[in-house]
Amino acid sequence: MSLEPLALASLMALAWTAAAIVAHFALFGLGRVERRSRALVLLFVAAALGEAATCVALGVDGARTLCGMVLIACAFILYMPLYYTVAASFSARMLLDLAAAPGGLSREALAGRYPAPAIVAGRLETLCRAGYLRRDGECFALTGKGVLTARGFASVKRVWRLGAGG
Amino acid sequence: MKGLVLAAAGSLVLAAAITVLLRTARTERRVDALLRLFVVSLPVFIAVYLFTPADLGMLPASLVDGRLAGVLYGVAVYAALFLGGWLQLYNLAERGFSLRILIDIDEHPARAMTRAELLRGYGAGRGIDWMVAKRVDGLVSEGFAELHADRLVPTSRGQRAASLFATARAALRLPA
Repeated sequence: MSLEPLALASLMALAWTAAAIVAHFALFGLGRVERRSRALVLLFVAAALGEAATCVALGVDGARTLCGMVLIACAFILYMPLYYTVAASFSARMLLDLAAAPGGLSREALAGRYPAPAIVAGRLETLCRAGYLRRDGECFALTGKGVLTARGFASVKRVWRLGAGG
Repeated sequence: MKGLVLAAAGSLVLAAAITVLLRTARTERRVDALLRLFVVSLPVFIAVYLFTPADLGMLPASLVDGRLAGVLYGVAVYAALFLGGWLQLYNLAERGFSLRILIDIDEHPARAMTRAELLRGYGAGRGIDWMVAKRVDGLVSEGFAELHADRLVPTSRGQRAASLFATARAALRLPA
């Protein structure tokens, strides 16, 4: 039984996505990765290239190959937020704190584990490293990339009437 | 190819519906409302796929796919565009900590803030403690934790999620 091209490209995309996720766990679990976001992006780019190469080798036409690569892009936009929830979400870390404390924690004790000055200092450092902020003496100012991001999301908030948020 | 075209077009229609919903609905549980909207839209998407011409009146014969593969592919892309696209955009805009810092600095008259100003002015003047309290309240309102004699304890749902997070964090060797 032969599969039609779209089904074949989709199955290959599933296989390459699974390979990217396995490689993510293997690379992060076994090695020391400094730039984690970039490494994860590169793994999915490699998966998309692998998809293209496999489709060419299997004689799948260009349009269905593109469809397969789109599926890998879809997997990427689903996987990245999942990863960041596990890696960086305050709520996830609070939940881990609660689960590790026999009998739970009072609201004050839980909140006390997240001292405001340390949280802000850590995030400002991350934003500077990522090129969204620059230090100007005691102040932090937006870079061009930071202005674009801030105004883009401020517009989304206005259109969707989301309020201050954060 | 029809699946991809309809998924892209359907996603734009869904974005318009999301905008109307967010601008008019008065519900506190907006994520639930967005998810319900998506679930309701799925059968509509499938019906549009099944009841429109295989070539959409414009695709060349070489780009026409089988019905089953086409509809499954279209649903996968449509779902990913909602869950990884619009819903994530909403989550980032509504809850993003880093984004809020960037917006606070951009809206400050000096377009620059010290660390102390950010601590006080975070979230359009609510302060950083508000952000922490919001996350704590969120754990309760979303059913991950409950109050027992003034202590927060994880619910069974919270325990399962915590166990999953702990396993993934250990496997990925994420710092504590």
